[in-house]
Amino acid sequence: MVKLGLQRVAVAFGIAVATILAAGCDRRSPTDAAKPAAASVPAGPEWFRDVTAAMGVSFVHAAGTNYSMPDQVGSGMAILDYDRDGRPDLYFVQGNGARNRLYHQEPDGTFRDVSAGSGADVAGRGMGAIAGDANNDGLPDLVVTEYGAVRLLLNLGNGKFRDATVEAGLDNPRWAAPASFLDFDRDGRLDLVVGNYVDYDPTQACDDVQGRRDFCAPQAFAGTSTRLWRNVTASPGGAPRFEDRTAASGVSRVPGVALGLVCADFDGDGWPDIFCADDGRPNRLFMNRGDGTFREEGASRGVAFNAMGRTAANMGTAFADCDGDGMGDLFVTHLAEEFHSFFRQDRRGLFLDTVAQSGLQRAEWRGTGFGTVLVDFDGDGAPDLAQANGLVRRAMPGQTPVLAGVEPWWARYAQRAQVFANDGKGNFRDLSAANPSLCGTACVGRSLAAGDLDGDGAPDLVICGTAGPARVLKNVVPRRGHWVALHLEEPRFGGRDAIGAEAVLAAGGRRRWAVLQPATSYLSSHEAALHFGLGATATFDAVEVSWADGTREKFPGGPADRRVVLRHGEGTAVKP
Amino acid sequence: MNATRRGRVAWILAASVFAAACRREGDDGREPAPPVVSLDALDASLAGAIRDARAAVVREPKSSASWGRLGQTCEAAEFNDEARRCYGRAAVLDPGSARWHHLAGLRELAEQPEVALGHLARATELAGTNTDAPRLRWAQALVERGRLDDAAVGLKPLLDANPSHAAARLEMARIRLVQGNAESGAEFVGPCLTNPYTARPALLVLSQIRQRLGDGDGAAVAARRAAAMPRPFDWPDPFLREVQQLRKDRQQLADQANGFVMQNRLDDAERTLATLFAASPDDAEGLLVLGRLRLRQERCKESEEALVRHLKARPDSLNGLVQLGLARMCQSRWTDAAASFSRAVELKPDFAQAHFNLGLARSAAGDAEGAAEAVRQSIRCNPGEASFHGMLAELLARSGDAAGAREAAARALQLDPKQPRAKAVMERLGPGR
Repeated sequence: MVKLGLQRVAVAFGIAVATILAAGCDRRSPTDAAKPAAASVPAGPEWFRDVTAAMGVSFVHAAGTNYSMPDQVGSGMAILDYDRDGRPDLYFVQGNGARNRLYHQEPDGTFRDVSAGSGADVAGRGMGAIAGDANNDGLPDLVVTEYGAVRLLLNLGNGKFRDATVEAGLDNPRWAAPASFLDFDRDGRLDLVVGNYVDYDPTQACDDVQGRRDFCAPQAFAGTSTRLWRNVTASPGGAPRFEDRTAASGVSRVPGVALGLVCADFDGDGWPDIFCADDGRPNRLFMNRGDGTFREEGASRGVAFNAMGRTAANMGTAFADCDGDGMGDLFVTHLAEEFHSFFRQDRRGLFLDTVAQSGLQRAEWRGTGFGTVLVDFDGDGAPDLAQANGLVRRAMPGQTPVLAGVEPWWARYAQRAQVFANDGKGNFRDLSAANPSLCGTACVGRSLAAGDLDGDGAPDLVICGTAGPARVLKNVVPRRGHWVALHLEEPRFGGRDAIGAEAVLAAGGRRRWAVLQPATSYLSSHEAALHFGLGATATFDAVEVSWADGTREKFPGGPADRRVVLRHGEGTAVKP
Repeated sequence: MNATRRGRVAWILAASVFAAACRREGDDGREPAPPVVSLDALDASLAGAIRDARAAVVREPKSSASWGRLGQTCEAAEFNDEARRCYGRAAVLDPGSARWHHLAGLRELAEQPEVALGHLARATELAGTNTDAPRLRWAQALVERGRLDDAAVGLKPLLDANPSHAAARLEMARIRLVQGNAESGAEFVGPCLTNPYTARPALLVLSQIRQRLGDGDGAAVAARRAAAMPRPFDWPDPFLREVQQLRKDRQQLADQANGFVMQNRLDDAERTLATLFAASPDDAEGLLVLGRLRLRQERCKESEEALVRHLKARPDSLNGLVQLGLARMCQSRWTDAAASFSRAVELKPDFAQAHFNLGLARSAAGDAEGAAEAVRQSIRCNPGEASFHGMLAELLARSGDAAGAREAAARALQLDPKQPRAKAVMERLGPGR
């Protein structure tokens, strides 16, 4: 007891000294507040290298400078293989009325701007993009969300897209932000969720307390309904057709301010649910009741509020098994003055915000997080975390150095990205200082998407911010672990990606879980593949897939370090 | 060694280090200069307060009260870094003040959490039993950093002194929940359910606890009860309140008055607006709130007058246009009202409520077709609103489209089985074939 008492004196003494020194002798300048507190020593080799120019990507996001909120919120991007040549392509959403851009990956690994004449180069006040096959013809279509619209760009199969929004019955005059495909009725056709953001008043001007014009906060506006459309396309390859189930499904009963979505089976009942990350409001979790209706259960399941029971600016989302317990954990990004939420699933369907226990609080500084991914960059079997940051208000100064090409007016909102390594138990370590290519320059970070762009088995990143250039970051982790990339396909439905399917991969005595849901992060869509890091294990034993229709199959294992296509119906049936 | 003694020993040791470390400042005999902030665009009341507070620091550079006051005025104007430095200086000059340590701690939380925890711990010690805010905030800061056991120890004195302390019990319930002990959490949460500050968050915690204990229905009931409650005020913090009370700028007063109108505290709204207009008779935001207030009071003509003045300053104000439309409807001037709503939906095509109001105004003006079109637009924007479908049902029934009316009424009743217009239509038309 005496020893313990002396230790506590020592601890209290340390705190007291730190307090007094900081209070009495602090001579930091105001702008220092946004800088890391101390120059940090790189904690290892760099994980990413900027290959944007070498890859031929020259997209620059456009945004206005008149404090219109839609300029600040957008825009996103999608990684998709629209021509099914096995090489992921890129689609960038533009803001401020400029045209969206489509980049095709050429056989030599570079990207070529094929926007003109593609039909995908639509113009609007773009927000996000997702890829998914709306008519089961085996080709990924695009859904683009905009301020005041949602568009379905039907993939015609010859590198061309056609705007099929009206004929498909999609109509959303609201400010559409995130979108996601899911098969909520398990009929094999991908249904569509669109999260609408605030009921924005474009005539409202907002000043900060200091009298300076700034972007309005979402709290200034009412919430809106998230929209749900059921896919009723008559036949595979036919004209896509959706019917509005927003009201009938019960989703409209609880309006919100959605900026992020995760559509996945949260409680293990075989039916996909809908998580909405709501900006400045309690998050919503619509649980699928299996009869075409949903019930909102965010609060009781522990994902509505942060650990302190408060609402916060919920924005980007990532969903992966961070602690190896076979269940998905949910990460939601927030403002710099708040804490991010790390909703760990400790019992199926039940979550606790354990961000304080995750090590993420010990980051060298806190960013206003938007796009985020949980992907195993180093192949050790544990998903790591990356995050795009960018401010939304002037109260906090932006960071420097600012990425070249960021519109100077927007530089005041710039922040650096961050990356954290996971130890396999859901404990994260800040590796940002060792990653100058990704984290060394500041931009108004928004979208962040992951995919193995060069086919080397290592997930790469694409990051883009408001009023600035997109960047392609190649994964260059040295001594990366073995890996397997799974492509889950639905032969009965045109061979499309099996969005919503879950896979459990067994290797080296461990079971690793993942769900195929590309539409997470922030207004973005990842490559439709599941990347598993295997560490030192050079083979995997088996894969069990829970398909979106509720059936389960087992597939044999084999050597690692390759891409494996698993087709629904070709495995051995597993009884529930 | 008990906690109090440990704390004293630590602070004696720390004070000696502090004296040595800060000798640099004493060496040249100069006090640090008070921060300079740009007051150019600042509201006059806040700018004046900062100017006065800064002048006081210049006059009395060794006065903790002056430094603290400058910190408070800076914080009120969101010069947060300057506020942080001022509080820090105030805490140095008067290390026995709970106020400055508390405010310094809160300001430091984002940037230097360990320093913040030190300040908050010291504030807790200094505040003693005078106020519970520092101890609560300290414990919360520990929870935020995952130091759950330390937080529980920190809360203990509050619970020892008052076992029913609602805020402390709520924090303990959260701690137990995160520690995986839902049953224990349930024991703590009980008394919080009747305290106006904690009832809503306690219900939310209870909802989680019940779900974890396998009572899904009970969880849903608790969540529904919480959702039906207004957002509670934060647990009283006298030190923060001092800062908040410094905000008397125009925007703050207008927001406050609007809040009173929303809460139907019309006399309070009236008083707040009087304060605002005494300083700024033509304040556009104030005029909008005044229009809303007069409408609530059914003084429709005066409401219109205020809103016309508001729109003169801000011709494209959507809220102003909608309120003006309502003020005109209130006077049965349907065509004029429709004109206001039309302008609003022109400016914001997805303005569901304005479309709906336009439908009401057109309907009253005898334009049934135009009314139905407007209501259809409102449904397009917000398909989940039962009253929109009910109104459409009524309009279609009036125009003789029984099938369309039944369909719309059925949708309305699916969303709200009690929707009055839809019920009336169904009763009048019958179920049909």
